[in-house]
Amino acid sequence: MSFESLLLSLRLAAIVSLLLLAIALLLAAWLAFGRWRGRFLVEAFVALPLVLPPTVLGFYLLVAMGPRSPLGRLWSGLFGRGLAFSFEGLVVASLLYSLPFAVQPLVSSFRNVDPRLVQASALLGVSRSRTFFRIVLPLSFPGLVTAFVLSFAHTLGEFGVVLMVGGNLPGITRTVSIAIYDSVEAMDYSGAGRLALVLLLISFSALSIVYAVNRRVWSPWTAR
Amino acid sequence: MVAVDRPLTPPLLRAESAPLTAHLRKEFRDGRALTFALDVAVEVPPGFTILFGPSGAGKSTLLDCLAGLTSPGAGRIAVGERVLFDSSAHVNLAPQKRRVAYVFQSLALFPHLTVEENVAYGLGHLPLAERRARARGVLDSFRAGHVLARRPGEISGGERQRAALARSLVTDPQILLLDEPLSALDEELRAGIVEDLRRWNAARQLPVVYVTHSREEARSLGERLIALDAGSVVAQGAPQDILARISARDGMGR
Amino acid sequence: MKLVPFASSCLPFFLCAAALTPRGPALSPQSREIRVAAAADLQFAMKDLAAEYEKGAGNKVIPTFGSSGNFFSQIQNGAPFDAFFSADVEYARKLEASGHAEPGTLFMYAIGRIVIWVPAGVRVDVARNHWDVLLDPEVQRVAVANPQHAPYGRAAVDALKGAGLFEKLEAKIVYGENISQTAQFVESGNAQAGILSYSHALSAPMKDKGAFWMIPQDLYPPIEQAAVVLKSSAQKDAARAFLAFVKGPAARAILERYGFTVPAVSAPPKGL
Repeated sequence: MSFESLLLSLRLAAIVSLLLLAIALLLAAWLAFGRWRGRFLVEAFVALPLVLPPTVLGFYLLVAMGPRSPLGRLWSGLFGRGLAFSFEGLVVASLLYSLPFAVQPLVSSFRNVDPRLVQASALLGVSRSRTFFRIVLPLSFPGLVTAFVLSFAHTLGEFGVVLMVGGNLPGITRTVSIAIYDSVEAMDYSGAGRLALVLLLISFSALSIVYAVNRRVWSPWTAR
Repeated sequence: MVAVDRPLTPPLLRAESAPLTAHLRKEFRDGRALTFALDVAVEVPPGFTILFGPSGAGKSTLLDCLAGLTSPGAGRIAVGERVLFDSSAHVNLAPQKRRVAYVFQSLALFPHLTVEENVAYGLGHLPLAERRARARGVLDSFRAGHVLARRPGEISGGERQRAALARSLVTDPQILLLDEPLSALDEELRAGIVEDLRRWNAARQLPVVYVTHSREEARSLGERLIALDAGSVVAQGAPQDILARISARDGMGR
Repeated sequence: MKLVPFASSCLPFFLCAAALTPRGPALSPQSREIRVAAAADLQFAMKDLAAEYEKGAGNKVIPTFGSSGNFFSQIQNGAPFDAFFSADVEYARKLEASGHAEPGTLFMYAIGRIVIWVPAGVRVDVARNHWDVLLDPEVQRVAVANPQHAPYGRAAVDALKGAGLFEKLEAKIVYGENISQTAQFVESGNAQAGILSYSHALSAPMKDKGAFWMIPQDLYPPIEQAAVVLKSSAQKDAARAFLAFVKGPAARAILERYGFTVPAVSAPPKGL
């Protein structure tokens, strides 16, 4: 039973990071290469979860996803159950609070690509979107890895928002961070310790593997 | 002698080499104050035209405008009958459409692709076999065919220059812009590449704008010279005359 | 090429995601999962109740513990529980009034008590000196549950005020999210004393670790604990069956073991 929460957390983190990679890629591409002068507003909005306390985020998410909200009602109309207090609700919440961890490394990576390379591609007749996929993305590989790893790790560890929006339902929304909290409350210190150690080891090995792989790949292309 | 690149002749080669004409004004402001203004009227006939001037004169800005990487505030740029930019007619072709080959000083070779992939990059609309054949052909005519399968980081400076030139030229452009392309190379290498370039252009007669600091190059290469200073053209014409005039006075060039 | 290292480093995560196919509650007729929102003071009692219940029926009881006030809000916001065991009958009644509770299922399952609990290492004698131990300089922090949403916290504050000690002790008080967290504060030694539920004092992790004194009932309104089946439940029958069990003699014995006073069952409510 104690590993149910761990599997739940891993599943949540994997789904969220994969979805985020797709979403953040497009958003970061627009932020890095777009022409609208109001982009800085969007950048600030994306960065909000970095500075807002989890309770503020949790509150607004509950309001936005609750049974009385338009989104909540649409969801229960479609699926017969609420969005808040469900795994899907956690995915939605996680997408939002992990968004800056995916977007920012990507924007930074994209902006670091030598603009003359992008210009050279355009001069050779290649459209902006194809240039993005053939030149910018491959040269931003470290940024992609960082974005994925950071959003994975951050989702794995989130507590406050998950508690408020998820409701601590075993097997559905009780992530490992909440399970640890629960165990401490129940004075089951050995149980809490076991889970905490496993989480620590998983996170550490995930990060180590990715950064080790990254080191080899970085040198030939980012050197200019 | 190295054979001229046969695969590139018909159907691509057209005898439509046309002169480049441009008059434009581009202003740079800091708040409301004007910090720099590029205001020029130039004509670049087929053949080599040297763009000569000190740093800060506006040479790179002019090239960027011609290539469509930045837009002038006002003016008109055309190659023969084909209008690339016209502020009064609201014409502003994207770089993709201008058929301008532009080799930056940094070359901007794609570091993650091989030389062959770099050169074939602009030929995406052709089938694979033809892409590769053309790439090889151009590289051969610039005597860089032997580095096809290597990456830009693995080859010498001279080979990179040739690869960058080959990449820009394989797409059959209408004009060629070269921003101090050979400044980092030694005398011998430079001469070799210049020779290949001349030979390549002998058949096509494209207008080539060649930016340089070096009086030597200006004298040996240029058929015409445009001297640019502080955003304005100070002289256009035969290189010898102009260079002699501006030698001691402004201390331009070496 | 460069995609390979990226894909290979993602592989473990892909495997995780793939291996974890969506798993809902097992809904075979043989074994249902009854999700119970349980007040934190039932932290240990509910586990025993569930274990006892599962011996007989085929269904599993899955409790989630927290403060009654929190659950009250969550349930109103659609939290998918089947039954709610509140530590304050008022919350249960309000849910009935607002239509979130299944009518006729509300019943009072226990009456709770509060105690002052002091861990073994602290050198005061709570059994002898009662309230005075809280004023002792040895006791730097007194843990109390948050009165805003924890019934045991409200009772504690009422008792302190009744004993005329609330203002004096205000600076020393630390608030726990619910009565379980409050107990954990004291059990770990982070607070030197606390006002906890009697059921916590009698529980296995705590009973040999400290001493306590039962606060006189006349100092605070009785903690009437009530349970309801929730209208949003997808398995009301199973939930009702569990509530029926809680009314029975086996469950009563367990509750009394944890120090709860179980009110005599008058007439069985309708609908069972």
